[in-house]
Amino acid sequence: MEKLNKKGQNALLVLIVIGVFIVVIFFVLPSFLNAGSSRYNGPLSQGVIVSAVDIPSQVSAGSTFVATFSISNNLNGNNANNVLFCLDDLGLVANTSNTCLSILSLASGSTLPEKFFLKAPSASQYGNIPYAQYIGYYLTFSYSTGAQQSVEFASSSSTSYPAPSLSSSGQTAGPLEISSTTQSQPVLYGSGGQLADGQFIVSLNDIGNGIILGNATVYITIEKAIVNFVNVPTEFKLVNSTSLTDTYSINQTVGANTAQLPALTFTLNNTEYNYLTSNSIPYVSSQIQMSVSYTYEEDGFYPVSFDTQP
Amino acid sequence: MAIINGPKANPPPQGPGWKWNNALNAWINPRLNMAFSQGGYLTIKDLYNKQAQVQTPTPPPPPPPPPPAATPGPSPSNTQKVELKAEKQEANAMTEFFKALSGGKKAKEKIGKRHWLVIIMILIFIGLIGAFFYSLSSSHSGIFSYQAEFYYSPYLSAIGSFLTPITSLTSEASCVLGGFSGGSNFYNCFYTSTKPVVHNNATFTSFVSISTPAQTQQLILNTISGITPQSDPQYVYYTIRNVGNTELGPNSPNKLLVSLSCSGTTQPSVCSNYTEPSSSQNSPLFTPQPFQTLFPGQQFTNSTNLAVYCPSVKSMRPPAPIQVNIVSTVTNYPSATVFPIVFVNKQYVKTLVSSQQSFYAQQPSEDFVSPGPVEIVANYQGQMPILNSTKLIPITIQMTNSGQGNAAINSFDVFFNSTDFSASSLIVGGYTINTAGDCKPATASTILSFDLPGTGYMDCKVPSSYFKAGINTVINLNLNMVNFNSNFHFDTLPIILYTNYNYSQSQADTLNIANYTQGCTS
Repeated sequence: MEKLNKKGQNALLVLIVIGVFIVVIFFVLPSFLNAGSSRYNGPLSQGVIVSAVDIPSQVSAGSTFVATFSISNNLNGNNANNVLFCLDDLGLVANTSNTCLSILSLASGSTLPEKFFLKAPSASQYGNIPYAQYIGYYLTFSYSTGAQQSVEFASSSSTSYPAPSLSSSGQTAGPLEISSTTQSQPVLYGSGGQLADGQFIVSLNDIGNGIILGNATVYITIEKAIVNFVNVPTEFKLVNSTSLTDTYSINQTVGANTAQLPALTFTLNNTEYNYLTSNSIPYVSSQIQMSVSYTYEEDGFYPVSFDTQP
Repeated sequence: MAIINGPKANPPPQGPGWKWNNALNAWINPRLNMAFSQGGYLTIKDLYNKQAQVQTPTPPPPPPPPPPAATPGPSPSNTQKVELKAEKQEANAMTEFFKALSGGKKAKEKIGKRHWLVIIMILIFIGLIGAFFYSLSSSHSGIFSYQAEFYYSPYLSAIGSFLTPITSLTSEASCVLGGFSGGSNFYNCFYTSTKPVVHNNATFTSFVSISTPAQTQQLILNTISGITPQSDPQYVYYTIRNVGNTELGPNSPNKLLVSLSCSGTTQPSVCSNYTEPSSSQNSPLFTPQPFQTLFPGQQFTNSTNLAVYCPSVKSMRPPAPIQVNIVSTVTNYPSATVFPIVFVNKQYVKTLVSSQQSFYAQQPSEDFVSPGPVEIVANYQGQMPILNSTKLIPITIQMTNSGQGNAAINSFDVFFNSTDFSASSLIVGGYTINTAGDCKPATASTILSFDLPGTGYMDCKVPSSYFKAGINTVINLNLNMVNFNSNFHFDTLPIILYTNYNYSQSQADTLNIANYTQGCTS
């Protein structure tokens, strides 16, 4: 009985060894002997990006191959939501599963390698003529980012106030930067003088490698207990108003690089103005909050050559 | 039974298959001999029995009888002997291995760790051989092997430059809207270059090289007709070498036909006056004859009987040298290209247009041409055609002849996938192809390395008369994109353009006329 067991073990071992070799020869080796896999590093950009693509540069006719797209979030400490990744322009290549995948939330600094199992066309589909096709992808994600800028007012008779901040503060994450500048800060008011104006200009700057789908929506919120916008351009809509704040929004198209929103004129409201001009307080400041929401798309194409049979 | 260094009646097959056969024979022959000596055929039991015989005594097993010398040859080299010895040891291990499988009690005891190592070595050897052959099967070892060398390399080197346009985007504002027939569905903004990227892979520009003897050939003039030629037969010698990539000959699809003709462009009457007077038309001097089979690189010197007669026109005496052309024609040679057409999702275009910032990723127009002197170069106004709805696609087809001869187009076909496209019409140079009549379901075929599609494809035949040397032919394809996957923004689907042609090239040779006084007796 013991001998029989040993005999069985020997035979089993032989079968295992043969099996391993069959697997190696017919399934593992081809992937090495097929064309070398190519790794592409995606363009460095802030946001959700395809940080690397592993895709064979050459595949045999009718064979299945794997394309791995590494989707990374390099937003500063922020989760990215509603990430949609789709293969694009598959052409003659067939996908054995879905072409799109949706990632509800991708934490900052994390990378998801997503594998797609693809099938190369048969040689007759391209005539067995040397042919290379591009496997494309597009990736969209929704994001919003913000910054703030202080607006400052001082009495013209005051000799001591902080150095004015002439541009926005707060680092905006993502491929679309929002920034602002002001003119004539601090706004100086003389005793009994006319109400003076400040100009608040918001700019958008696309620093990414993709495009903004549709419009970017910019929200600007002021503390209306201190500051008011006057003669608001019609492009701005008042979308939210509380006892303390007013929020305006504007839909803005962003060209190839930058967009500048219509200038907003701001003033100190009457109560604060009276304090300032009566010298009861020499200096007033307030923060204007702004944010931009947008859907961003990034595209990429990678060539895959199909083998020709001799 | 093949013997490595045996006499060779035929040239030995080249390539790794040859080595493999030798190795295989070296391994199998002693075993077959062993088996044949016992009963004529080889079974596992034979191996077992044989092994049982040689195992019981401790001395090494007797050497197997030498292979029967079917063909005399030199004795195997030292290395072969060593190999054979090693193979013998392997044979022992193999028989024990088989014995273990069949459950031999004695053998089981014999199989120790050392034997397992041997078995594993054999399996590794088999694995390596398998890997070696797999690598061969996927390489381009056929007649079109240059494709791997000449095509992929330049293309792959272009990847770097291709990655650049991924991030460079073109605004629709800079695109020329309109395109063919004023429609607004063309977005010609993809590629700024005015020329398509043509991967010119022509590896040979002529099928044959024709040469004549270095010394001027002499022909003796025969007397005027009616009188028996005095010095017939006389021969014109010429050598034809296959400088192409495929076998040429009577048994090949690519036949090689050779004829002689009078060049006589300056004095056409000269030739007709010198040659057989009874035949009014003397060019060609004889109808094209099948030439013998030539493999690439092979050459053959042929001679043709040519009788020349005293000129009937007396003013042409004494006769000047005759110039003849050796004309070779290669038939039925294919050429094909893949032409990609890009479709854009309508909904995606809308999204872009509504945002007033329509950007498309740039992709270069590519032409993938085949070898040989005739190439199909297709382009759409120097760009990739980009469509978001049914439109005529004016594709310019240019047949480029990079050789010195003349090409005659036998056929021209446009293949497209009928599940991707529906073609309502195909207009070639004003001739509208009836898609019902001229476009038919394709039948799969293989011509040289081309593997033309069958099921699922349509084959539209364009009359070859529309293709003239040096003239661009514009094909207006009216294609519908069917079943655009709404997940895609773009879909690039190629059509296949295929042609079949005969190619003629010639070489002039000057023949001196000797013995004028003897030939012109009257």
